[in-house]
Amino acid sequence: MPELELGGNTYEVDEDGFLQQLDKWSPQFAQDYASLEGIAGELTEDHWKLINYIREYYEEYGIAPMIRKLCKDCSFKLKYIYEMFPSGPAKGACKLAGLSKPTGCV
Amino acid sequence: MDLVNVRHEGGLCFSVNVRNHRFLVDMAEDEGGSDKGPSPAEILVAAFGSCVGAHIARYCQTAKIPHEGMELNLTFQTTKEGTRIRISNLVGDISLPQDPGPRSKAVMSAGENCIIRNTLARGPEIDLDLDI
Repeated sequence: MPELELGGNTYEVDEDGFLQQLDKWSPQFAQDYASLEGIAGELTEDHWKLINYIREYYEEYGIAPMIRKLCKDCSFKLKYIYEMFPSGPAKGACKLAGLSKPTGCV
Repeated sequence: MDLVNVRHEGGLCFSVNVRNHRFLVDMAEDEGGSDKGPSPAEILVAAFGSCVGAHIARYCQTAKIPHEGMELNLTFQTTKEGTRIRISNLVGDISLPQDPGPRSKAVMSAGENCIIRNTLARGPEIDLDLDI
């Protein structure tokens, strides 16, 4: 299992860099991972809105939300989501939210 | 319909040659390609977006609705069924320079009646043969 070192901590990730243990996630994990995902500086309020929405949705339903639902519930345009997370809602936002690699969802 | 010629250019890269146009299609490096062009799935989504856009533009021209600089932003989700991967969800936002107001529904209808959407909705009969 590949490992990822971030901010002095070691995390087990899959071959695409998705966290393998949801309980190892912390806000610091997301912030430390952000620069590797092409996000400069501190995560903004909107970044956190999306990350927290994805985590809450996952906790309730066990899967990541569909993209359209995510856009509507967070009131974000698709283009804006890609501006915030250059690698997109699946490869970027879900990764920072600590989810395993989504299949059939964002 | 003109012939669409797809020629291997090495690795996972192909050139597409149709009428007097040529472009490259490739896989991203993390998918084993050399990233010399968009992926086949991205081309499919681009075809969908530009077809929707063309139909909306045509309607807007007729209805005299401002549409210069119209933008479509699209993405897709895949799903894995056994060993098969397919696009399960295509999502797009359409931006016009002005809100078309009461004609919004007509604008969307124009876009939703495009050839690529109709094709994806019904699924064409596909007939491939090994030509040796």
